[in-house]
Amino acid sequence: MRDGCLVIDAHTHVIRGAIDSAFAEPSGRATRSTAISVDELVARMDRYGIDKAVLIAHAWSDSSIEDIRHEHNVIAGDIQRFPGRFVGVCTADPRQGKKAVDEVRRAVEVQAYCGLKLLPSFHYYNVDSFLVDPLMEVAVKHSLPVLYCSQTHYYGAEPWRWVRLAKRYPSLTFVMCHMGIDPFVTESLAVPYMVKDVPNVVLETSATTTDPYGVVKAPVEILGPQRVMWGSDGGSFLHPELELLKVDLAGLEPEAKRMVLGANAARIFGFSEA
Amino acid sequence: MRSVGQTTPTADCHAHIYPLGRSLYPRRSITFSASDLIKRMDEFGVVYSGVLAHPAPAATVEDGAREHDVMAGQIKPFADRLVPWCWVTPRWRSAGIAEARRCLRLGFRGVVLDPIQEDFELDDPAVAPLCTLASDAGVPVFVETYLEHRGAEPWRLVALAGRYPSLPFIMAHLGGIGLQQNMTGATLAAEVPNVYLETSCTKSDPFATFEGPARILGAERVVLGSNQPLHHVALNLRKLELTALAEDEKDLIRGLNFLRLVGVKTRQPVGEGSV
Repeated sequence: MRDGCLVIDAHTHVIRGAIDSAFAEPSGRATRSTAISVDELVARMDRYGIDKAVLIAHAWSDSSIEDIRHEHNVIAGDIQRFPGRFVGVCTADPRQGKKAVDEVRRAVEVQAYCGLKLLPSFHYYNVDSFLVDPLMEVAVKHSLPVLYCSQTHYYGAEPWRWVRLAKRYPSLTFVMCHMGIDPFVTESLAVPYMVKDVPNVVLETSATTTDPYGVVKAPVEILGPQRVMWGSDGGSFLHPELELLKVDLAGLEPEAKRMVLGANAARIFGFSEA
Repeated sequence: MRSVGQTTPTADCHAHIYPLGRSLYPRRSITFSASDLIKRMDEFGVVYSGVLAHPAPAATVEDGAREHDVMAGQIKPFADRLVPWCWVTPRWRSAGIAEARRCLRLGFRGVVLDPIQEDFELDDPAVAPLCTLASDAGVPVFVETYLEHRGAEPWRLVALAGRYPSLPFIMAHLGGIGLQQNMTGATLAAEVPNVYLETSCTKSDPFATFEGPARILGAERVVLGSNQPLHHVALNLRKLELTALAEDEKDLIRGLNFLRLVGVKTRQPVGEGSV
């Protein structure tokens, strides 16, 4: 709890072993541990008053369908170990075609995953392309919220492509993680205005920079507090304490803060607010 | 927001004031005076701030001079805490050189180059006279670097810095958002001895913002910056505290490096009798 609000982190990961080579530091003088276990994640949540979290399965650029299936199995086990703390979001690489669709179905129907995450910045496709349609049909059938890493400078993952996809599937809720990441984009308020008239897009605040107004307050003012959701992307790199401080510095009204910090995630991912 | 046991002053390399109001983006305007900046500095334990002039896009040299004069007037009551930087562009040609000289005579402590707003290439020969001026005056050059903007890429800054080995250059924003998590800005800066990394507009990654760059370059080449008022200094101050750096390394990053670069002795007022 924070200021009397239920806190749900809408974006967390558990990372085992090495990360994608794209994140490797080139000089070799500042390598860091990238692994974080579910026990460490829970300890960190407890330390910062984070009640619950959305635990997102991850697929790197070279993950095979077997790798993704293994990730889903491991994350499902992590979630079972901490009843009431997590819901799971599965992932897919649409280039894997029917195998990806079948794996998402299995994850949802057998392992109770309650959302789908797409990563076009890792998997090199345009997210508004026909490739994703079979996955969207699974999401429609199971009413899954669809999460995605939006990145202004990665071809295929730009925020405007997500808007095009969201318009094609108006019955789905799309959670735009990172608001495009780029500080000039968040400073300019481009993303909340871009999605203002696309009511099925919700903005999630993780992996953004040090601009509390542009990341939190202005999106709440432009979209309403029900369409902005707090997340940390807290795995190996990003720190939830700083992301919480960002919300505090934004100076939201109490009801808006309650919605941003947890009530919206509870509604979208089916958490109990108790 | 002083660190436990902190004995050195906190100094933010990178802030702005907009006392007359400014539309920074079509949908975002801001009014922020020197008094507003001091109030925020006091609230979060910042003793000194660099104040970077920031004329509007397409500003003439006359516009720039007015901006510098307004800034000097605003800063004057707080000359013991605010460190002014002048802003010039190669587009102003010889008039820009003259304006920078005038500002330095007034007590400005550094020169800002903004290839993002001005759309020039950092390694363009037209930038050379401004660097020569800064070098001759013994003041550092703050550079708005950004991987994602052609002309402002950090590799161009490294090329420029290589031509002025005794002139300190400050690479803003760790070189750009795409370089933050893998710390490539620091790796590029390591190719020359005179580029310092500034940490504003970065993500909530304490290691990649402070600790990794300090491991690559040495803590004496990493500089705390906030880009206030758009961005908030409290986030980077707390981010630095969350690193595993030693206290003396944090002291350097938290202020001593910047104060050394702009020639401020921490027991003496800044710009007394000048601005």
